Amino acid sequence: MNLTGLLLQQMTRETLIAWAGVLCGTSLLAAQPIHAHAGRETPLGTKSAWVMNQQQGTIGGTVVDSDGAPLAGASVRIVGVQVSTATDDKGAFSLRLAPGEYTVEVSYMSYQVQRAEHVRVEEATATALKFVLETAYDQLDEVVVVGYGTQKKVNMTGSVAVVSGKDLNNRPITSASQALQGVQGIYVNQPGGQPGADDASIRIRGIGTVGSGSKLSPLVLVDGVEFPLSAVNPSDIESISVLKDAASSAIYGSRAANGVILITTKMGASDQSSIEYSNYFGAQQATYLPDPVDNSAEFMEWYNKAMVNQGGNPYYSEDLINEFRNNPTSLEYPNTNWMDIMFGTAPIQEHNLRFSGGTAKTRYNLSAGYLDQEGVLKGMTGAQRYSMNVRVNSQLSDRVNIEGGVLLNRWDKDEPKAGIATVMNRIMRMVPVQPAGRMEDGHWPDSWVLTPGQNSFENPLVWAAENYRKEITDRLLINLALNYTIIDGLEFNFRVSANEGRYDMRDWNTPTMMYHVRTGAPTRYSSSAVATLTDYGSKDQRLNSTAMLTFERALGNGHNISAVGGFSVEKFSGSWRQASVQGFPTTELPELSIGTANQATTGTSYRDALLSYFGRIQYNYLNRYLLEINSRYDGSSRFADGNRWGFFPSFSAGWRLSEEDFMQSVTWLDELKVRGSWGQIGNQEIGRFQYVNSVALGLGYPFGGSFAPGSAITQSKDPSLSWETTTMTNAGVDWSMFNGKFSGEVDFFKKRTDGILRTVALPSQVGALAGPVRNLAVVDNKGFEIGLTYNGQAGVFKYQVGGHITHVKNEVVDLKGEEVIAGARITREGLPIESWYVYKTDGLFQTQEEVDSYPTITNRVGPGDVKYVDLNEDGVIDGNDRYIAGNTFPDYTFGFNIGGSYKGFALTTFWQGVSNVSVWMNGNMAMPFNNGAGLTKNWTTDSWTPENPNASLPRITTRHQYTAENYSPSDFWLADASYLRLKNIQLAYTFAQTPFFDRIGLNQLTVFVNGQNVWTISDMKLFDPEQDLSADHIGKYPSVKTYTAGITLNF
Amino acid sequence: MKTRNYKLLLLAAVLPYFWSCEHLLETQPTDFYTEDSFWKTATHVEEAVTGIYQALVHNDLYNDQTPFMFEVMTPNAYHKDNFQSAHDFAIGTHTGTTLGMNHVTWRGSYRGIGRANMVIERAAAVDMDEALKSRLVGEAKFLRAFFYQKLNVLFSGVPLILSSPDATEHSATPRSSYDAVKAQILADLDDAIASLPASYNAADDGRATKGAALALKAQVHLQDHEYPAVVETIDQLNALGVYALFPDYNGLFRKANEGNAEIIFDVRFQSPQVRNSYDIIHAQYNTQAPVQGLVDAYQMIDGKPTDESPLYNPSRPYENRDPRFAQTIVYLGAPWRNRVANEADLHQTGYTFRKFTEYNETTLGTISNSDVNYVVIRYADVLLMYAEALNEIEGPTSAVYDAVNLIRQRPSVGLPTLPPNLDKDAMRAAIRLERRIELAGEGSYFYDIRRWKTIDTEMNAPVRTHAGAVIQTRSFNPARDYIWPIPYTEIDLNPALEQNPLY
Repeated sequence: MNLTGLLLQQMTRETLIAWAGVLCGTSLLAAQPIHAHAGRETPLGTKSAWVMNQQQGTIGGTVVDSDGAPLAGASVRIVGVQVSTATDDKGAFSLRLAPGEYTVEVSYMSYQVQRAEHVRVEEATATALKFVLETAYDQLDEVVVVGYGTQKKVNMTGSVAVVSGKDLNNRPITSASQALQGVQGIYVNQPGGQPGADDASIRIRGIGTVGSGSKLSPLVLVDGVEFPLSAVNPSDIESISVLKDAASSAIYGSRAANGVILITTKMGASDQSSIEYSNYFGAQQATYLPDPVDNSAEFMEWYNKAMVNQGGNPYYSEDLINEFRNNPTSLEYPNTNWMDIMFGTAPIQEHNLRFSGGTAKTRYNLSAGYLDQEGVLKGMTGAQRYSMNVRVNSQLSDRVNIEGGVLLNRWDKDEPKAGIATVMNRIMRMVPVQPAGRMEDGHWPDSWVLTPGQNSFENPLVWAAENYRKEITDRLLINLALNYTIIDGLEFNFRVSANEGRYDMRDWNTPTMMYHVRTGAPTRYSSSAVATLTDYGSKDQRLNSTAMLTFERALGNGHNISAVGGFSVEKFSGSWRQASVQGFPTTELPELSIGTANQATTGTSYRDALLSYFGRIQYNYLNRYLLEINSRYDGSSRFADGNRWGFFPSFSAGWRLSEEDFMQSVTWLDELKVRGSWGQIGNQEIGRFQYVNSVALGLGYPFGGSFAPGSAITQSKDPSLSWETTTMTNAGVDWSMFNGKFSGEVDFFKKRTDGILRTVALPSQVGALAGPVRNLAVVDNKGFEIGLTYNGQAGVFKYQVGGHITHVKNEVVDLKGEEVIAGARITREGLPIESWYVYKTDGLFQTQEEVDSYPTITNRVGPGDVKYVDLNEDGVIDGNDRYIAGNTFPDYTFGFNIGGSYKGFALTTFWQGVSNVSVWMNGNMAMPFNNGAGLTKNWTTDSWTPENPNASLPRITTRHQYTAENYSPSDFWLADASYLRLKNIQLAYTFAQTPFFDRIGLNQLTVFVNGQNVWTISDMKLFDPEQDLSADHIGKYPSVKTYTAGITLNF
Repeated sequence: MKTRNYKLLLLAAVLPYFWSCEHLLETQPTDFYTEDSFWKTATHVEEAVTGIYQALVHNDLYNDQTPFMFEVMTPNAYHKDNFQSAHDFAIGTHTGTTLGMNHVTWRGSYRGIGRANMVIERAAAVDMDEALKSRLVGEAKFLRAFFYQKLNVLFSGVPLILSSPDATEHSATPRSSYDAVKAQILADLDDAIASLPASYNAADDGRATKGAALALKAQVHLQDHEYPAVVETIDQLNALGVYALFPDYNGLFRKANEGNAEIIFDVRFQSPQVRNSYDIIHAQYNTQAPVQGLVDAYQMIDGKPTDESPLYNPSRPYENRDPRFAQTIVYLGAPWRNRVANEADLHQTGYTFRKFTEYNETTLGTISNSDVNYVVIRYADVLLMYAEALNEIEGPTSAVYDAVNLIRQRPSVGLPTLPPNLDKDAMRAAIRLERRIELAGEGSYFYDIRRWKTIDTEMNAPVRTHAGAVIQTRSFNPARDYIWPIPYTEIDLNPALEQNPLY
């Protein structure tokens, strides 16, 4: 082991031999007997020098590209021996080796790996080599992971996007879902940066169905097993394949409608071993926070103005306002800026250690990672992730290969007991007259100035200090596979896997008394007057077993055929339970067994199963004409007998024009392929037993002082429920030209989802029942994706520019004539799902005459109020005047990379954006005095007054008491949430190999600085535009920008 | 291992696993009944009837702030927040698109109607004791009538649905006329009166009784000024001989006196399973705050109004008042919760309701497990209905005096009897004042001023704090506001619903 070099330097001659023996004896590689001749003039740092008893020789040389330019930092290794180095600025390298015959391998970034075999090293002589590396443009051998197998990229006929783990190096992405940002055809939205809860939502080629959550999410498989992305350490990812069209995903049948993401974790390489350690340390800050009025006197004046404007009386007396104005800021006279108090800079650090490598027959990967992230919402949020991944693959015999892995992931997450949504809501509701901090005696001060709209002062600092929610999420994946080669070209594969999850949550709150800031007298409890402990636990398990046959054969005369066929059984089960108790004799002992009163328990369990048969046939002629069929036959327990089984076929074909004889004269064209596909996929993600008319329990009522159990039907059901089926056609072109300098792909697709399972809203007169889930709607997503990459070079400066844009037009085709109006959103035939449906506005009323001459929504409307347009001209402003005002989902998503390298320096940037999407922010702080909340500063400068008639905001009124007049859902408040953001910028420097590195066994040292979410262009100023587009408020955990710096070491 | 052995091992491991897997797809729910497994036994019918009662404790009807918001829409109280758009209804700015009290009441009532319909329809085929079945169906009919009466008064004619909820059949049902709904309510009540007992044993206390059905029937008739029918119905109720005024006016609302002889029908709560927010609403939050106009309406202990009584001292306005005042309302300086109520406690108007909370003068700390019952109909209400109807038929006879004086002379109240020789109009005014005071904070006044058609003047006036400051000016449009707008979201879902005039 190379580390031993470092140790040896410091050892005396006497202990050297003994120590070396111990270390090597326990090393993962078999070492030779050691006969070190210490004292001889041998540079210790040269690999293996100290174990050799012969005079060494040298292999030296240069590595250049096809234009003759030297390649600095290229990796040079001796195959089968633990010796490697990297080239210096001039592309030169030198290695000392014992005499013998070696294979030298050189690799560098996007160049093809080159080997020089049978290189002889003689004693005390130098052997010179020259490597000319070709760009790896024509990656004939590039293999892509696809459903139940791998495939050569050039032979693929479906639409698959691939992310290499290398692209993610050093980026402070805390969840693997963020790794997909920037992949063509995928819209990855990461709303908020709460540690442990910052998963991005992933939508592949639009929204194919009506619903939310798992119904819209792609299927994710890790090493072939369904597994949540949030439980994967991004640093363990070797590659990600995103199966976008039905041709690629139909082999996953009923779960593939939203696309499929295949993650392969890292594995060691044969005949080598390495230790890699990387880390980063950094700081996070909220990207956007509202800018509240934080002067109490000013706040109270504006509240009074609002009351007067809406026909009321001033609430705060002039005396009180003056008292605040004339006293310096103190707990008694606070001028609290709650954004400043609650949010700050939070540290983040991550460490990853990996041992990987192998012998000729066995390969392994052992890795561990640790992430520690505090939240920008200080004192109450934070998370740690611990992860481990072990993978082993061994060729037992010519015919038998076994593989296994264990992946373990834990998230420890801290949150306030009330939950982040409640706390964010309250933070956005705090006003400057409410005191932050503690009194001199350590007590929490109550607010002595009452805030109308707030029943009491719910100080979030108290929540941070006096109660907590601790969540532990464990997930374990165990995966065993056996490959047996029956005859050449025919393999049998059997895989069993278990995916187990456990989630524990503990909520603890203790009664905290608030005290009058002047008298010091206790006033009231901040929340509950009794201590309550709640323990919640859930677990789930997926057992899967898959058997399949893989057949591959060249039939001669250019005909090649391969096939996969198999079946799989999946069993899901889960349960949850919750217990809570009060009556704690002391708050020192927060355990269920200590509480004595109001014990309550609840819980339930569930079970599911999926049986599947799947297959694929591929045929090609001369690697020119490609045909492929994928299909799956799925049976799901989610449906009633008779509707249980679904068949999902797909067909695709490709033509590699560049392989045709007539194209051989076009020398600038490396590769050109056209391809097309058609297929069907399904979606089974509905609740369990949606087909059963259920009678819900737990609707009890007390009679005679004791509680009687009660039941009722609470939802209408449709027993004829069946699969949602998505039919998708795709046509695409891939090309590579000018020796791989310019490559790209264009895809056009049409995705139609039929029989969309939708909960029908029923009028309340039907027993106020929740509506039934029915196969009702048809939705189309049509669009295109364009991706282009250019690799350029100017001397030793290399650069890469790449970008992609995806356009998806969503249209509800059939809703059985119904329309669904949910708040300000409408789903209607001919429109995108959930379009904005609001009043049209025409600025603000300027004069009383104007108000009198136009229909108004109520009789209180006056100058300075929003003017709603009477669209149907019936003389009244009502629901019939609403119109379609925009999208709630972006039409265009785009991303691009610009990067370059100069000698050891590499700069990469990644940009992301969306366009044509609107949001409506309608809650605390977003609208003035909402429900007792404050207001943002722009209202003080830019709201309508007779003196400021051109203001962009109406006259000041309260959101909650003047709702219809100024704050009805209208286009006045729709904000354009389009953005372009520098998602990531990274500057890395890889040190050239030095003798010192050799001496300590270091192969690579890279230092880097990284910025995430550093710069954003958007019209949205109130809050981060990359946010949960379905939430109409800003009471959400803010997004964060993160600056980090770290190192990567490779031994 | 030899190759052949691998093959055998594989076969042994794989094949049994994949064979006969089809049964895995058969799953059965473990935490609810299916409709097929329900409606088999008496227990099922009992559970389903309990489920109808449970609709009462939903936030839409009698939990959270909802029942008290009715008080906020009268000249009795004020709430600074526009919770459930009650402000809009109070100040007349509500429109066809206002959603709030109209929506929760609509939805909450139809929830109960749907559950009642199912019992009435499905119980028929259940093999069980016929007497028990008859009683349970009677309860369901009482409750169905109760919910429909609420809807009919507030919206004037609603979809009349009488069979188990059916998405296909009932989603497009249009509104029936007021009279058709009323006829059904009366029919259901007559069935309930015939099949319900006058009282229950202790274990079933709280269920609908014959008396409850009679009292509701009297309300239905009174709503339309059908005075002889009111009197006749209340005579039947009195003949049951089970109701009497509870001596302690404030105590009749307390948990300790649950099910006392004055209660005709109430909504029950019991911690920890079914809690409410009444304590926190009235005591900690002070959300539905009585206004000065209500306080001014309380007579002095001598039975005279404040502006006529020598006992009234403007500097000590809360002394020598009708004892129901201090039993209903917490005022500044009132002993309360082991201290004296102050401005911070009573921050809206200087008052809060004491009724429907468990707080008293000596309560320490806060009550977090509220389970006070909501009294829907009590005997005092029936006595006042009786007086109102009888006075309209035959003027202030002794029976009218007796009914009102019984209430005024309740032991814990002890007011002088009404002055003799009142004429019909004066008696009408006296009964109306008595109703307002006796039932203050119980949501009755909302319906009373509509029935009396006094709402036009009552709701076109400002409301004030204890200090006399105007906090809100009410507005009422008699051409439109007697009935509420049908929730427009319901019209969106069922275009056959016709909106009420002028909305």
